[in-house]
Amino acid sequence: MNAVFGAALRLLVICLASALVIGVVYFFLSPVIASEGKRKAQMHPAGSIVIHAAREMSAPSSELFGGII
Amino acid sequence: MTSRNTLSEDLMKGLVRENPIFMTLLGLCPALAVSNKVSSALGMGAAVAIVLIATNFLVSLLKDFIPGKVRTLAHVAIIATLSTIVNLLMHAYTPALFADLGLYAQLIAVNCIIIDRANSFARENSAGRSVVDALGMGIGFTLALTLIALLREVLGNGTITLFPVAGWNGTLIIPGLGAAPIKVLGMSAGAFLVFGYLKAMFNAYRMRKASGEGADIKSGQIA
Repeated sequence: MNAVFGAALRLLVICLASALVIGVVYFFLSPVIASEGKRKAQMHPAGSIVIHAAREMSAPSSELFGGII
Repeated sequence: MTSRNTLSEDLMKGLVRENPIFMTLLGLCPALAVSNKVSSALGMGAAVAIVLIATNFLVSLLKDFIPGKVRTLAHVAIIATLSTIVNLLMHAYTPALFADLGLYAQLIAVNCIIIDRANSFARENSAGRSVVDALGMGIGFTLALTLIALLREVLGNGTITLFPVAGWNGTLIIPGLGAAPIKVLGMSAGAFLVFGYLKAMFNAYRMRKASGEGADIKSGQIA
């Protein structure tokens, strides 16, 4: 019983360490991934039309819309 | 103490004698799926090699910590972590390659070569030998993938796609081959055809080498 519990505990440690490492890497890389996505949206014809439309609109909600893009 | 001969043997066996694609037939799914372009093959090979080296290193270091009862689960957790990190790095810095590889980039987490080397080699050997073994297997996998992709792309499309560099789009056009390409080689069936011919060549090489060394050959199989 103790051996099974010990094995499960060690596996839990490995899983938690894995989650922590992935979290840290994601924290540092997510801005780069997000900026790449934004650049692609601007390069894409449909993306540029949406951004242009969002800039043309003057309602406060459009600023939020543009910010999300 | 590990001798230099053992290390060079660990490195070289992955290139031909125990090549993961042509000899042990591991990791065929991504090999056939992403070998339609040379750039994809090189990218996939590099990604698998990096995950393989890091996995072998970590599994070898943690072999006393990981109990036998949960060995495979722990190995999969380690491989999935490293695969996720490589995927995030590709997504951030090489988005075009990441898009080209598609689902197969995520499937590195369940790649048979990585699981096999962690289970069969890294957990029984030192970190240094494990890293050298992974390096050899990674290079062997990349070379095999690139060879399949090169034949498929050159004969099937008349081009060689590499990575774009300042002002150059990264595509070499082979004169004469683009006019009448063998289109089937660019399709899924073409991957099996090219792989079959290359596997036959590797088998012929192995049998010739074995017969030269006096091994028994029974009905096409090496005993």
